[in-house]
Amino acid sequence: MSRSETLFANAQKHIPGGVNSPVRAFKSVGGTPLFFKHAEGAYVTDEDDKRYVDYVGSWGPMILGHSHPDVLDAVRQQLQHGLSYGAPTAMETEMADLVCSIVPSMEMVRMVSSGTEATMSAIRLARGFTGRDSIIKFEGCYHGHSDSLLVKAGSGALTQGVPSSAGVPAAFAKHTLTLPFNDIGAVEQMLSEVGQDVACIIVEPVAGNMNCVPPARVSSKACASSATSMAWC
Amino acid sequence: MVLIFDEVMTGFRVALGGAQAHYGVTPDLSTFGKIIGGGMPVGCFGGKRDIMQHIAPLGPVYQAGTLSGNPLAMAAGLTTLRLISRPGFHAELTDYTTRLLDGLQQRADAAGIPFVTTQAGGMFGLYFSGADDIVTFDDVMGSDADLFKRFFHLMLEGGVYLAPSAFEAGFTSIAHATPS
Ligand SMILES: Cc1ncc(COP(=O)(O)O)c(C=O)c1O
Repeated sequence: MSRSETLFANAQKHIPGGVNSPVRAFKSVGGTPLFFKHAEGAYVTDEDDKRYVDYVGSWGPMILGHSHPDVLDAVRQQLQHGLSYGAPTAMETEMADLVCSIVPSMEMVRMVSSGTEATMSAIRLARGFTGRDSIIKFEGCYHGHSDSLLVKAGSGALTQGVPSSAGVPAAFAKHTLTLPFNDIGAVEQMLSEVGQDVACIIVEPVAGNMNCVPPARVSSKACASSATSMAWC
Repeated sequence: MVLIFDEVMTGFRVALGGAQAHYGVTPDLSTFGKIIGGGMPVGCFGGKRDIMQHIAPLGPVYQAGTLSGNPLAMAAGLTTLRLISRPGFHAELTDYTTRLLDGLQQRADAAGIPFVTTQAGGMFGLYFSGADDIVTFDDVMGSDADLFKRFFHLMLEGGVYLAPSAFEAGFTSIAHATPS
């Protein structure tokens, strides 16, 4: 037995499916998930000391490669000053200023601890701002696992062959209207019917949770312009 | 109505300014994650000032977090964002990704295996499919997931770790583009 196999067997005793996020369980490709113990540059090393070129990159964050020395140094520096204060820090303003300078549409930002929290909060804000309940999302798009967004979602949900989760009350799901991705006609039709009830459209501008599907150009432009023309009405 | 771009995956990857910069569409609100934390747990949402001012403590929409803006996470994220802001970074990442996909396509063609790839900057898709292009959810579902499964395990044996699912994007890094 490889070390990964042993570790995976042990993991299943107290962790559902042996993993803390479903896609890691290798369910859709079969076999035993690899347990990793080290990562550097373009490589990850498993518990059996085999090295792999890594095209997962922790599912996106590791754009510099793993263990970039400057990133590790910055974390080490901060380590000497404590792990968390629950009070404002100068670095948060630096982060907000940097994000707003890199992405011009960002005039104000709020930091959270995961993508799920970001989308969940943005949806609540859109609903609070417009005073409307319905949201439009697209089939196969995944926006984290908050209740409203686990309707016809992608990623682990798709991998399991159940695009919508059990445990999401029908009373919540009914406010999530789903449309086919890359089909602007469907958006226009839906808006003409129920536009007055729609708080927001949420979309992955490149769908990355049903494999990788770039936007049909006309679709994304038209989506923005119909959203803008409907805005504030 | 508010247009939200979920750039958790595409942000800082498809282009420095995300998909909104790459495709020239401006959303009202955007969400980010992944790269913004440099490997630490971070997400972020933001956008138009008049909308964002509705959030507590300025406005009536409640939102909070014990560990939000955590200093270790900010240190990793800030350093990552600064390093990827250097001119040429995303062009190099995109070029490398294109070369990778071209190489795979050539080998699939030579072997007579129906194969299509998609790319947006430093993210990509691989499909065992005879379709001309992948545009819809049905195009995705029409690809051969069993062939992918075999490909995945052969690549793993050969020392290449791909996403363990036919329905996940692949990601490249600048370390792939500039091997030491
Ligand atoms: C587009 C998109 N939105 C939201 C999320 C959820 O982020 P997290 O897993 O950090 O909660 C993901 C994660 O894969 C994502 O790809």
